[in-house]
Amino acid sequence: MEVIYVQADRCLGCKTCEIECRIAHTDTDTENTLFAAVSQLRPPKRRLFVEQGEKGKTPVICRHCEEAPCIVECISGSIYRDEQGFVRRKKERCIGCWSCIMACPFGVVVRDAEAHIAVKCDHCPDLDTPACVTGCPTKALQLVDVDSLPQERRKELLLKKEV
Amino acid sequence: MQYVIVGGSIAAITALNVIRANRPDAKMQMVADEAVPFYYRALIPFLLDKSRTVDEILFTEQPTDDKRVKFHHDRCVGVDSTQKVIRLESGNPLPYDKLLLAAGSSSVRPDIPGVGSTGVYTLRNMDEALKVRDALEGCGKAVVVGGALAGIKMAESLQRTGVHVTVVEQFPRILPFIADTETAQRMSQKLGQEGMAIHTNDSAAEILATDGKATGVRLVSGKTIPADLVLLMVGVRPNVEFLAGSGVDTDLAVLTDQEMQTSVPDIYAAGDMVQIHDAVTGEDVISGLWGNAVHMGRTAGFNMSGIKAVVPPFLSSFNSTEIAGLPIISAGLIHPQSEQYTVYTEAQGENYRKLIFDKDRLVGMIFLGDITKAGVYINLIRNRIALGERKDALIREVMSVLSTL
Ligand SMILES: Cc1cc2nc3c(=O)[nH]c(=O)nc-3n(C[C@H](O)[C@H](O)[C@H](O)COP(=O)(O)OP(=O)(O)OC[C@H]3O[C@@H](n4cnc5c(N)ncnc54)[C@H](O)[C@@H]3O)c2cc1C
Repeated sequence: MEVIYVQADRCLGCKTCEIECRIAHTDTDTENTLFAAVSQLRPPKRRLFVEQGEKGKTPVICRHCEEAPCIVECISGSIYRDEQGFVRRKKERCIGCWSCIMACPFGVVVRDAEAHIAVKCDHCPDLDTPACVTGCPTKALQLVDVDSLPQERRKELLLKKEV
Repeated sequence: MQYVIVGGSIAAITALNVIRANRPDAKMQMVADEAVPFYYRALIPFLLDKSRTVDEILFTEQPTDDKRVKFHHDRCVGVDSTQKVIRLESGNPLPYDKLLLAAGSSSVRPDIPGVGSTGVYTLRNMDEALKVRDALEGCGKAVVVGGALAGIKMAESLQRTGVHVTVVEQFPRILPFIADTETAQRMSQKLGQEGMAIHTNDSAAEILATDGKATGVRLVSGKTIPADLVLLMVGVRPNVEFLAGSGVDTDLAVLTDQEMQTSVPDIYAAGDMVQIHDAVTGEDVISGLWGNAVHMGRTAGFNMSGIKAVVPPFLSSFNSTEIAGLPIISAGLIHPQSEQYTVYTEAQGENYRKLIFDKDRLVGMIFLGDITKAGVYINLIRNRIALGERKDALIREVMSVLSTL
């Protein structure tokens, strides 16, 4: 399974990832562009967040946890794991109870108040590489194959509780 | 290996899925007194106002899709742990090697005069919800007795159908288990603006009826409220009666160890019929929460499959919802009763935040309106993290969000 790997020391805080994320999640019939994103009646929400970390700016992003608390707490069957292993949300099943926001220890599920649904990273299922990774000019965001990483690094990447 | 599961809701299904995945050889039998297909219980308020159809609240994957699962639409009426069989209402005994009790809880029906009249309902399952939905045809006024989360959710749904709704709550405020006085007041005000009448510090003394049909509710205060429909949402109790004589120990509810095994070997329990130990308050309480039922079902499923697992630390107060357009998330100790705790609050317009500390540990919180990152802080509560010098920065971080809104 390939996951997004964050190398915080490379992040300059330029927020290109946030912009690329919004563009990729713009609901248009035409090509997804920055112009299309900003001209939406309800501009798309970003699904990752450049924040101030201990040593500097760093993108905070969904880890698609192995034991995902947002799936556990979802009372409506909206949040699920897709065939690739990514944690996603079925829009039509979401009732806006915000249990996923309550559950996520990383704070990366957000509320779309107008649409009344929860919004989270879907790992861009229609793209070969997620938009934030493609857009990152400093390679602070990279796609890596977790199975090729040593066990300790894996654990750091995926929230894995002992079962 | 013969697995028998009593109950057909989230705890039962979660355990069943874990067993199916880990024991390809397993024979599984499920006994549930509600008919298939299974559904998401917390969504039944949406059936009342028809904002969701029955199909839209069903589990997308039904356990009976797996041919290894035999389903009995029946009720378990007894457990004989020496013979390792359970008794069913239909009469047949069902032998088990491993048994899971996941029978959840049932509505409490208060013992007041007139409670048997037509037009009076408790509301916890699909069957009852569909009956109430039908009864709403031509209904003008409704009284919901009980202003906790489920009662308010039902009241809002009734209101959306155009019915005039009155809520009666015996505590001095609505949402007594998830809100403090400030949040409850704000919620009551919003609901009031939407036309809902709320009576706190009061409760139902009698259901008034004419020719056996409900016409209203007389309150303890003496007030009378006319109603065509009365919903009794005064609480639930765990379904443990059928365990009498089984040897399974119960207190407030079924007692288990960290692996979800009961006092009897090979009998496990999960979900709303189980008593848990709250990691923050230290109290023993009945669970009553969806996520806890999932954790317990999963843990029971692993141990029943021969894979050792233990449950995570539990919170008994851990709630998220939206009422009258205002989101609220609260967790942990939200009604601190002693000087030992320090409380910080901040308000900005419709937004309100409260943090409760025990020295340098966050033990409780309420976010109303802006709920951004609530889970980050709840994680600190659940895992009892000592913040040390980070405490002040955390308070600043949480509260400053409101001033930048
Ligand atoms: C309106 C409403 C809103 C809710 N909202 C939330 C929420 O926002 N967040 C949250 O965390 N929780 C919420 N809950 C609570 C949540 O739904 C429960 O915690 C959860 O359903 C518990 O699951 P369970 O599997 O333990 O039992 P239950 O869902 O109670 O199911 C038990 C099943 O077992 C069956 N059964 C009982 N006795 C027997 C027997 N002897 N033989 C055979 N079958 C039997 C019952 O008929 C039932 O089908 C809500 C509940 C309601 C009603």
